[in-house]
This record gives sequence, structure tokens and C-alpha cells, in this order.
Amino acid sequence: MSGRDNFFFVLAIFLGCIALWRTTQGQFAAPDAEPVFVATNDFELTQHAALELSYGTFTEPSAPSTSVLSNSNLIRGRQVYAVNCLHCHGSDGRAQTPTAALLNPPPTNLFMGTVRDVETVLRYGIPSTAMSSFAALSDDDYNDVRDYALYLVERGTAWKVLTESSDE
Amino acid sequence: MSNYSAVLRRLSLAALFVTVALTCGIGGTITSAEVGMAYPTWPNINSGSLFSFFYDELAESFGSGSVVEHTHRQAASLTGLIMLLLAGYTWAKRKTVGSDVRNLATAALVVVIAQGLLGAFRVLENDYLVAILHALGAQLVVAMLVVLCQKTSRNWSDTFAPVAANKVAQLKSWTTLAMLLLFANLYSAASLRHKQGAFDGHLILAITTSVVVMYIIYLISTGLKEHKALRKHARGLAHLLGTQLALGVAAWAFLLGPLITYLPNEDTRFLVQALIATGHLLCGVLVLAKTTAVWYEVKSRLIAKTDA
Repeated sequence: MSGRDNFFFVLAIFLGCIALWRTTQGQFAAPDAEPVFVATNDFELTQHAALELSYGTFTEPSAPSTSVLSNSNLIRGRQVYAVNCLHCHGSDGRAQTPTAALLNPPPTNLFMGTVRDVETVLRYGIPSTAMSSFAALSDDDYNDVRDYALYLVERGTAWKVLTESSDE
Repeated sequence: MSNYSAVLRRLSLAALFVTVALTCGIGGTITSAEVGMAYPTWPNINSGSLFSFFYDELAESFGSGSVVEHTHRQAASLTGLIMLLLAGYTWAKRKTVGSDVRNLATAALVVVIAQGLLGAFRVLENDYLVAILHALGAQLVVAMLVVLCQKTSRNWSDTFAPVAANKVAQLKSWTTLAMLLLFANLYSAASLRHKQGAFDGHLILAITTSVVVMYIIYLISTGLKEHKALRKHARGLAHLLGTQLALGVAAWAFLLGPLITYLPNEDTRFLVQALIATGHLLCGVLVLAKTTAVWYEVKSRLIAKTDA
């Protein structure tokens, strides 16, 4: 091969190595958009604003100081959730996604606030369903996504309390 | 020894077709729709076995996603079955079939079996690294089957006019590099599809690989006018590469880039994204297949002129 050929040959190998290194070291950035909230009446709109004051948005979550999750890294939990859970459980945890529609039993609606034990489900999965174990996640990822799932449950419970007050 | 046999040729082509169109196609759809875990047992599902054709019942019990997953496993079993026949045939006819074809068919069968086991671990352990390796293993099977198809073709023993030694060495180096880069790129693509790798890694590899493949096409088109088989492969590769680059841009725009929100309906977005991503994957498999054909043609049939 000519000198010019050799130069580009080595350059291609170099770029290939750099790119492989980036692939293994780089963090995947999942496209993540805040779910659109559609209020059925003005009251719901007000309560939604009140909920966001305490709990932030889904993509930039925060927990009130009274919550056991107040010291959790919920922002990072959301990132792990976006990679591992969002396609089934949805951006708002309500499990209304195209992938969820292809599964039976459907994924749990986390926002309903009725999940018994997030820890056990994440660690062992639910037998004979698409919810498999996520024990293979790193400790940090596991703890963060568990806290984010608990956050969704807590947020769902808070929403239920806020909206039920309208019925009374 | 000529390895041509109508049975071998047909079995090789059938294995390649089933692997690319069914196993890779449906496998890609599974990743695009993210329904790989639609049912977490392997290989059987409740009372049904791998060879049960109970799609309606399956869809009712486990959802439509499980039908896609089940069909992928059945297609992979079909590949395994054809490979078993192919390898068995080469051993049964070992007096007339060359040892190179026999060894390759046996090795491909081993890789297909390993692929099945990797698929099982992917489902049972829900491990992304295994999923990535499973995707990469499929490409290895395709590459091996392409070589098998070439070696069992009727005109494989035809000879071509010798080419200048420096040209042969140049093409051998660049095609080998293209194969390595393609596999590296497929690894980065599989990482990206399983949301484990950074996008820029795949982008750099895609650009580098494309430039290298384009250079090979240029070298063959301008310097090897006498080698018709290679020129035909190069033309096919050029068309596939163009399609693949267009699909790559579309995949970026609709999956990661500015057009995500262009389709406001979630179901439409899901369908468009799945179609583009699976198309990009399948075209990538075809690019690999064609590059393998070029690489093996250069490696085996390009003869250097001797000084004498």
C-alpha cells in the first residue's frame, strides 16, 4: 500500500478504537419528554399545579421534605427508568404505551399507588409475566430506579388524595 | 475439489434466507417493539412447546408481543434445523465434499446452537450484555452462511485473470479492515438499540465504516475491470450502503433527533420508529452479507501476478 493508503488505514483503525471505547464508556441518553397532562376540568388543573409544586415534573422530579424519598437521587432514577421501564410503564407510570398494549397481563399502573412491594418485584420479577428481575442492574442504578418507582407510586397516591377531595 | 452440489447449494441459500429474512427480521422487530420479555420462559411456554402453532391462544394469554417472540424462536429453530441438515449432509458425503465446506458448515451449526443458548440466557437473566452478544452472534451466522453460499456455488472454481500483486494486497487489507469495522459497528449499534451505548460511538463507527466501504467500491470499480464477480458485488454493495445511510439518518431523526415530536400520535410514532429501526437493522445485515462476499472473493479468488 502507498504511504497515503497507510495513513488512512491507520486513521480508520484509530477512529474505530475511539468509537468502540465511546460505545462501552458513553452513557446512553434516552429521549425523554414530559407527558402531556390533559385536565378534564379547572379543578384538576389547579390540583395538578399543586402536585407539581410538591413533586416536580416527571422528568425533573423532586420529593417533598416530608417524604421518605426526599434524599433520593430522583433525577438519576428517572434516567434509569427511561432506559429500563419507560417502554412498558410509560412516561407517567400509567402503563399506557404501545408496548404495554402488546403484553398480557398488562404492566402495572404505578400511578395507581397500589404497588405492594417495589423492592421485591424489581429484584425477583413477577413469575409468568413480562416483568422480569432487574437484579442485574448495578447497585446505584437499582437503588435509584427503585426510588423513582416508589416516587411514582407516592405521587399517584398524592394525586388520588387531591382529586378525591373534589368528590367530597 | 469443486464443492458444488445442488443439495448443498439449496440448503445454504435456504439457511441464509431464513436467517436474514425471518430470524434477523423478527428478532429486530422484537427489539424495536421491546417485547423480548413478553414471556420470560424458554424454550416452552406454559403447556405449549417451541413447535406449537397456537398463535391465537398465545396472543390471548400473553399478548401479541409473545406471538412475535414465539415466531422468532420458531424461525431460529428452522435455521438450526436447516443447519443440522446441511452439516449432516457434508459429513454424510465427506468423500465428495471438501473438508473446508464441512468444517465451515459444522462451525456455523455450533454458532447457531450457541445463539439459541444466548437467546435463552437473554430471556432468563434479562441481561443487556447477553442481548447485545446475541445480536452480534446473528451477524456472525450471516457472515458464515454467505461464505458457505459462495463456496457451494456452481462457478466458485472458475479462475480469473491475475491482478497486480500490490492491488491484491491493498484490497485484502482494506476488505479485512472493513469486516472488522462492520462487526465493531454492529456491536455499537446493538448497544445503542439496547440503550447501553452512546450514540456518538455508533455515529463515528458508521461514518468510518462507510468511508472504508466506499473506498473499496472505488478500488474495485476502477482497478479490477476484468473481475466481473467482484464488480457485481461492489455495485450491489454501493446500492445497499446508500440505502443504509439514508435509513440511518431517518432512524436518528425519528428515534433520537428532531422528528420525534413530528408524529404526535404515540401509536403512529411507535409504528414508524419500529419500522425504520428494523429496516435499518435489516439493511445493516445485508451490507454485512455483501461486504463478506467481497472480502471472501478478494481473499480466495483474487490471484496476484507473479514476476515471471
